[in-house]
Amino acid sequence: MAFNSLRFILFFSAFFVLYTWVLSRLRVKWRNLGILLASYLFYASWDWRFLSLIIISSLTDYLVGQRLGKIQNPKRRKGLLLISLCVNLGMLGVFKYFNFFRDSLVVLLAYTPFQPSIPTLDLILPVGISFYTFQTLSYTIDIYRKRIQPTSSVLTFFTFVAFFPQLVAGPIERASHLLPQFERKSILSYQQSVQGMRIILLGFFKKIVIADNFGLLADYLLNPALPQNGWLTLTGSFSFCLQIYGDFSGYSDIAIGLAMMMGFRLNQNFDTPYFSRSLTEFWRRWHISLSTWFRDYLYIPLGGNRKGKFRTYYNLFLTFLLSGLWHGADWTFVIWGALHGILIVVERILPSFKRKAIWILPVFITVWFLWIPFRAEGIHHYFHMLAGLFNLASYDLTGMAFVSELYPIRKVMALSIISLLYFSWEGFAKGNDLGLSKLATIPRRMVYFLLAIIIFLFINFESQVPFIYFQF
Amino acid sequence: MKLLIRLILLFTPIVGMIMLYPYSPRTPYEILDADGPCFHRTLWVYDRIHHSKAPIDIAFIGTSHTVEGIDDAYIQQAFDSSKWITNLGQCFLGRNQQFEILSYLLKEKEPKKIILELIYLEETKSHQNYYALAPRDSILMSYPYHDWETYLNDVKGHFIFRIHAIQHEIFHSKAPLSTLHWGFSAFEDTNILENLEPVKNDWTDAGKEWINLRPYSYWRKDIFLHKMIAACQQKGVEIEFLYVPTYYAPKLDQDSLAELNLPGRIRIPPSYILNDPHGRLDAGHMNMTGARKLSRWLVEEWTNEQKNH
Repeated sequence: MAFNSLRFILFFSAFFVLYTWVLSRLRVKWRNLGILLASYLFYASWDWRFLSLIIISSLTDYLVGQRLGKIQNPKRRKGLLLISLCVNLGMLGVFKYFNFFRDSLVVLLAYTPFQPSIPTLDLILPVGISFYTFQTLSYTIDIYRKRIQPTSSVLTFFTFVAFFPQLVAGPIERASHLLPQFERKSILSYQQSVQGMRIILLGFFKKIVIADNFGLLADYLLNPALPQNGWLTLTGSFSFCLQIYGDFSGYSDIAIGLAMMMGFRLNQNFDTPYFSRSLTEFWRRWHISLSTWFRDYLYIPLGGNRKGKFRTYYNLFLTFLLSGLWHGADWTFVIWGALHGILIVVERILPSFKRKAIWILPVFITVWFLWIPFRAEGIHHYFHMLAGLFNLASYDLTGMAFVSELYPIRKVMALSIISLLYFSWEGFAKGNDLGLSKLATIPRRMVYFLLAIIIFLFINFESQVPFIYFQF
Repeated sequence: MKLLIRLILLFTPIVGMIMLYPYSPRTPYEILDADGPCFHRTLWVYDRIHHSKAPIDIAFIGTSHTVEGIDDAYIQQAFDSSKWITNLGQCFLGRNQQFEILSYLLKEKEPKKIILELIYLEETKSHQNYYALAPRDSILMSYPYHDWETYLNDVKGHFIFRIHAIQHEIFHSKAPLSTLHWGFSAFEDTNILENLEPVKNDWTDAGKEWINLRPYSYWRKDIFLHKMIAACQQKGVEIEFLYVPTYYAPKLDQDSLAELNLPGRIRIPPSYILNDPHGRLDAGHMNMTGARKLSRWLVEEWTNEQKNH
């Protein structure tokens, strides 16, 4: 039940009516129970069996949190934290990484005389496991660090972990921010609902118009079966660069908008990242909730920048390497994380200076090229694309002629103009709603109308494209 | 409630624009034509009816059984080369879709005779192209009280397809006109006998199923079949019915046929044509050999009738 499906629209419409007229008027615990049941129903629509994982994860951290709130002995506290880490990262490890490490080990052992038979696990990756695992872990770690108090209500905590607008792909919320909102009565207002819908409209625009259409182009251009061609890699990776932004920030906008309609505030996850003037700044603006999670729960505990230059570089590199691995169990994600780590370290080594707006372009181009391993369908595909990129003889425009048959040139042109206008608007406007709420009534309604018309003109009913980050 | 009203106010004009956008009636045929091996006939059929200057005197309308069983060019040459004989068959079952093609045909050309394929088992749902190819009014003014689910499915499918058609008209160049006159399309391949044998044996049960299905599945067939008959009768066009069933299908039930009250001659090809394993591409369709035999038989039938007449 993805956000861009008719099923979800019907599900949320029915839930919103129930929420507005019944649940929001009940006592907090009944409201939370309603949200929790809706969230579990939403999650079960993918595969009901994975509900057990989210329940195990929630229950473990609730119980660990309760104990941590009572126990002062540092050793026992560390032991409790270890239990939470083992359960959560253990589930993540088994479901997401077991086969990856197993396959890598088999390849490695092939060069040695030892060749043991290691079984593979026939597992499906539970949707959103990386997101809710990090969210629930942050709760336990914050209690361990005595930054927050454990919640006494099991229902509140379970609702915090499973809150459906952000359950499957974030933003990864901190307990200090979201949990208190489940402990008090939410105030629903008409203005807030309208604002939520505005953000949802923009999210759908980014997903349906920008992400899905550039995604289709990227799929055509970066098909691993195609021969090496520099133009294909360049245009395909550029399309993917726009796709992933539209897809993920569109998803985040929809999540934030849905929560806002229900009277909850989620953290901003994107802040025009392609307008960054350095890679460091890019990571302050891209997937903010994950970047800050890694900063607070990995980089700083590793020592951050407090243990000298070289240790800082090491910490940065390791953080980005693991951030890459978090995205997916494949060497291409590790390479993507490592490349970002290396370039961030290089930025640190170089003398710092005030970067002017002209730096936006080189930083954007760097990020664009760094998306290539992220998009690659395996390590061989990555090298195939790289070879095309660096082999000047492969730059053959006739090799791209097939694209116009699959995707009409008029549509490409219209899409490019619309995207350019949208990104310019986003670059200069302020706030989640891109300043729409500040427009006068008639122009504002004209913009809504125009956005809706463009969505209908570019929507692709034949192949519903899933959100990229759902796979993580 | 205020929010709901504003949402409705935002989307009503958009839905209205989508429903009223005057895209070319050829556009849906263009879209479906590119959609798959079975749909590639749609644009041809449209252009043959609307753009080809050649008249259509005798038209075959039916399913893929007709497409792959009736060699229209051969029949024209062998029977009467002064008459234009055309196979307008479409893949998949569904009288509603055939009704749309017949309506266009009667509007644009002056056929003398229509040969409708007699369908043994009718799908309970619409033809899968119906909501795409039929005009808006035809969809909306259908018969919801017989089957609301199908009706709503058609309306929803039509709405989504209209968006697709508008996108296609805006972003795509027009497809070139098709200049073909005949629509027969069959393969030379012959099915392996072992594949046909199980089908032959299965028919005993399928025959029972046919009788069981009839009370609820035949309404659509009957309605659109009788609409087609009425449209032909109104224009004074002769109708014939041709049975081109699956391999070893049981004989038509005479009582059911009587219930259908068909006004034209019903032609049932002999068993040596219908049940010849060498004349089958698969259980449902004839190959080139089977189609030639069937077409020759039809020419003989017509020629004999003409002589006797």
